[in-house]
Amino acid sequence: MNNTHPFLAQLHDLLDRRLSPEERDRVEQHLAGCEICRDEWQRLTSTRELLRRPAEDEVPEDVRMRVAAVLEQEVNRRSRLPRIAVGLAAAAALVIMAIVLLRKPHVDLTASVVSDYRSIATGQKQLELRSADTTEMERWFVKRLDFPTRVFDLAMMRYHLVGGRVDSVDGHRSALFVYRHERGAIVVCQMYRGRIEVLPRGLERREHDGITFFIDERNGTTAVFWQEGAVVCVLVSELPRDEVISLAYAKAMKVRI
Amino acid sequence: MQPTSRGRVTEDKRAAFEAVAVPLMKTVYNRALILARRPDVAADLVQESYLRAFRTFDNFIAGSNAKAWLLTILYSVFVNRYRKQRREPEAISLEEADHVYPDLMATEETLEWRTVLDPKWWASGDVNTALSRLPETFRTILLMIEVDDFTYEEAAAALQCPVGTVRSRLWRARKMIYTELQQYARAHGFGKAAP
Repeated sequence: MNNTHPFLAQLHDLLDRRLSPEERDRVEQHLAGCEICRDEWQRLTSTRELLRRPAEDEVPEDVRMRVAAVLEQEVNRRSRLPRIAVGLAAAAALVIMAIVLLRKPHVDLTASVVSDYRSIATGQKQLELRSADTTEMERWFVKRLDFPTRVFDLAMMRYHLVGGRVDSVDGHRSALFVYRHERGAIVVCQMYRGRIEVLPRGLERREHDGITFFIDERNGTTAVFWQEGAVVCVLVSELPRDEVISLAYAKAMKVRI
Repeated sequence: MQPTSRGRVTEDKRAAFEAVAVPLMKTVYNRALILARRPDVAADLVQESYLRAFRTFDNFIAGSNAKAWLLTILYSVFVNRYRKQRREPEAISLEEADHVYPDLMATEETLEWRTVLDPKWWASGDVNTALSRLPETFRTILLMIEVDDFTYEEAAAALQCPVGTVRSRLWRARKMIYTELQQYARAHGFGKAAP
């Protein structure tokens, strides 16, 4: 680069659109007649073109999930119930929990939800509504169940809602809905009115964003349970264990009771 | 479980935000990779940037340049959080930069620039690798202005420095990146065999 040439410095300003119209005309006129400056100008613009080549690295799935999780958490934070209602609900929950713990023996819920998953995967159980619209699915459940259901939008993680049905878990009517990944894997979610405390002891327990998750597995199928208010949620899939857990982390909503 | 009306508003906001921001995640992630040099730190940057963007989404004007808006947040997060934490030993001074990056154009071993900058020689990702090798101050300014078309004033605001500093850093950064590209080109035999 010949730094002594009088117009070279102004080529940067020309490139960055920082010259007045008069200055620009003067530099462009010079460029037309000066091979040294024209060569340097072409080098500068060619460098810029090379640097502007489009990005190539795909966003890893775990990064997408982390972003989805942090947005979910933010949405939940903003939607939180007033504290007084939370306090009353917490007291009620303690009473319910005590009743449940006294009355219910621990049951093998994992076996139940994994069995449902396989029935769906093999077509033994049919979906009652086929829809990719989470709002339509929620409305469908509202008419059939006595508890509100939150049908997740997993499109950001490339899981698309297939549909759902009313099923049952441990004698409780449940909302069962199914997602399919673009690569073909399926995820089954169930929600039902109940308490997570009836899960058998000894399951893997993890805390994430203030929510407790219980993780169990049957023959390569992972089930991740958590509590949302009066409702138990469970995600079931044959995906890698960590991927199922990450999905649950991304979509679980913290509801204080 | 059932969203309250307030919750529904927030969900609607989230859906609108995702429609704008998710298609740009690849660009944001790739910039973060160059800035941070490490995938785990890049993931942190992307996550924090998207959270900040969501929180300020009410200020985003529909139809305006969403890419510039998101990248401004990314650069701001990087500068404010990561540079101040000094996770990476920073930076070399402008004078040191001149010393570390000698003017290769003046040496006899240089390749002709048309060969160095010919896109046919550059495999995917290699340009970003060269960018990543620049000291933080210089790769940041180069990304902002040379790649993402920020004005000096926009870059100065995001980097919290005077416009004159942007200008001087940019000029040196251009020299440095060309040196990196040329060194890469020489090391990989550009111009000697078919790419």
